[in-house]
Amino acid sequence: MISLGDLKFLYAASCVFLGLIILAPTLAMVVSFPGGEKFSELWILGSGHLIEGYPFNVSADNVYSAHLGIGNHMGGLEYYLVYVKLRNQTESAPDSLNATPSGLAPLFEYRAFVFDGDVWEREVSFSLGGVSFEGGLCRVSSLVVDDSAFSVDKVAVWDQVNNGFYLQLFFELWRFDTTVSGFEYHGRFVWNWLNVTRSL
Amino acid sequence: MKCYGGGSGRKWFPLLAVFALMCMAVSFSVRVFGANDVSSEIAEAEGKVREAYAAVLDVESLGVNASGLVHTMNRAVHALGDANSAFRAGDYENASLLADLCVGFADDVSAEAGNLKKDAESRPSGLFMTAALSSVGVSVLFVLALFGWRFVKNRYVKHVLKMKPEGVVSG
Repeated sequence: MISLGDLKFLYAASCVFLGLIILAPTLAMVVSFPGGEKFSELWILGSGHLIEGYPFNVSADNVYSAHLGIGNHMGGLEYYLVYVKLRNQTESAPDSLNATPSGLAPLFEYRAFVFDGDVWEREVSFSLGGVSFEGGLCRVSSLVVDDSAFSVDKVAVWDQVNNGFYLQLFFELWRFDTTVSGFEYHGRFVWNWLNVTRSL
Repeated sequence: MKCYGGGSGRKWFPLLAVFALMCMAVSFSVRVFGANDVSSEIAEAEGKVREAYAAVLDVESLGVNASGLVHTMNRAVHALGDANSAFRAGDYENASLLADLCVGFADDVSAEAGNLKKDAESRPSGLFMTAALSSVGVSVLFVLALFGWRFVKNRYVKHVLKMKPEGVVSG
């Protein structure tokens, strides 16, 4: 048989437990628990939203496409900017170790507001124009991204190891920092190597 | 001697005047898209988007569902991104039109966010309501617990008093 003291303790504990249940909604609004790691995702997928079927062998005036996506895990609404840039083998690329962007000027850009836990995705279409080949050089004079034509003067040198004239189309993720009221490079970039070939 | 010149000039003067007025009207209505003008239009659009973003964050912090606002914000920044891209491509006319479009969307968002903020501030906050309900709940629990303890204690005592003594056989 349980003693009166034990019964009193059990009764008091039950009441405290019930009290905590009643207070739980208020506590949940006031007490903030440390969240998980905050980060953003940036990805590029080939045709069919798969990690295959990326445009690789490209020729002048043909339109190619890929799917660009952003995932937000920063814990709140975020304002993102993605710069589209084109470089040859020798021009500056973003630095993964130091989290610095490429020094090249952006051509096209995408902007989006993304809620926490949400994703944003767009199909990116592009084509190269004014492609000429001369000896061991390939010159590309224009890039069209989503119907906007940009003058680019990119020269790709014949890559003897990989057998091709390579240009890299890459995408840098920037995030709007409300404390400085400006965009800052978010340390994420994805790319797609393009082997420029003669039109068939 | 006949003078043809003076009569002919007077005859054509009204037509020339009308033509000159039309030229002036056209020159005022046609916008010249210079790089500097468009650049400042885009900068203005960027500023409007920042203001709208701050307003949306403000409204969100009050616990208001801002998904509708963010949908319009995305239309604004889509236009802004395209305006910047068009500007880089040298298509100033399109860049200007897109920047104007962006300003329109951003202004809509700022206005709507302002209205939502007023509504949210005029209503008691969710935290206040929850805290008030919790306080009432805990108070009721406290009173019920006091009466409940008397009931439980009485039942326990009655139960103990009804018990019969049992003998213990020692080994």
